Amino acid sequence: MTRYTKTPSGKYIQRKPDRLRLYLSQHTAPVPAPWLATAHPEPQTQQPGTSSDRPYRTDTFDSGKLAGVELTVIGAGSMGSHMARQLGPARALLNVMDDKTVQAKHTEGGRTAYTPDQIGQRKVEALRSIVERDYPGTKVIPYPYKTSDIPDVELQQIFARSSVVVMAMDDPPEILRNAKLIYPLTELVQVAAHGGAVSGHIVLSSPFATPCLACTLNISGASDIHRLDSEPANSWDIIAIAQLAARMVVDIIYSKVTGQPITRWDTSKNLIYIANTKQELSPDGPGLHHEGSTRRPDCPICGRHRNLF
Amino acid sequence: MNDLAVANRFRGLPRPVEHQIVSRNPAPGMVLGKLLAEIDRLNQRLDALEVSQLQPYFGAGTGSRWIDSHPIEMPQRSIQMAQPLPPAEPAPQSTAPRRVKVRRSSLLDIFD
Repeated sequence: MTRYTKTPSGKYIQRKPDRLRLYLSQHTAPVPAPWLATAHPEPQTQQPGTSSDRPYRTDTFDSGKLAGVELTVIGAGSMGSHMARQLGPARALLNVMDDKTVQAKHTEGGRTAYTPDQIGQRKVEALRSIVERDYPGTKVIPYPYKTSDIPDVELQQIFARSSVVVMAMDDPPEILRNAKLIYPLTELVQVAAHGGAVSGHIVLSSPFATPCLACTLNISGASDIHRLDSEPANSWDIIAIAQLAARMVVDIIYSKVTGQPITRWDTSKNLIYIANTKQELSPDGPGLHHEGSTRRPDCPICGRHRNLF
Repeated sequence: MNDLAVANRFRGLPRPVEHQIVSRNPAPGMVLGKLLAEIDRLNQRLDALEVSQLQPYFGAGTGSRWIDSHPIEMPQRSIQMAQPLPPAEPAPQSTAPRRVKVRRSSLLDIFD
């Protein structure tokens, strides 16, 4: 029977039997892959009371409980790629959506998580190789598409399976479309950097518990959002925003998995403003500003007369 | 024997050239003068190297093989303070919470 495998470009290639692989599998003893040995180490007998047997988990946090959780990251640019990398240690299943390829400028000065040897690759494939290489147990499902190419029904199925959807994209119409689809289904974390990355924001949206993204940003349509292309910025400022957002995603997942309430921040405040410089909202230097938001009564997504589907 | 050596002198044997230290046909005075000049130049260079060896590249050794082995000139300046340091006694701060709100318009020019 002829088997075909679909490549990321959409083409199908025929799978041919490899005689060498067949011979080796029949005549040589299987050798466990070193990364699997690292991921599932043999239990070793340790002297109780020594530091070597002390687990890293604390009374309130055990990263092992995050394993297998499904997440979705929309956008694999500078913010999305750094966030996906930060989420790697959770050993989660990451759906990553982006249709673009890695260019040389993306690898300059740590702007993204990609490396120069990945120039020309699709971002989602490059991200998969980085995250799965560095974090055994984490699985990345690449979706090399724009979300505008995916029908609502398909997106809703993916979002409904996800514990959290991270939206790290700058396409205004798609931001609002995805936010509307996500709102009734699961938690949304929208993360973005502002001009020069001197600041950024994270909007947290929880189904029916918080105002929707449009109400939080107080916008009426996609034309209110302006996209900054190839914005000059310090990569460390971008990473600072991404790292903070990833940390909040971990808290949300952990709460959903264990039922433990989130205590690290005031969850009634769903807008987090990140100042990377000394400015009006953070007069002493870089810092955070948490703020609540209100839903508009006439909002079709989260208002009193919402029409979600 | 000597006659044979003289006879073979120009039969495919390498001819002595000027820069060879040991020459079968030295030009008296000229080669020796050049050698002495070269020795003098090398001695001066050695002296300069010995002096530069005594100077540390970056002040105290950093312990980093990379930096210590690459004497790259790096401009080093002190941190520029935008504001002068406050006096020893800090001014009493008001206990009232700040009432600054995020301007929503500042959240709308974004990149990812």
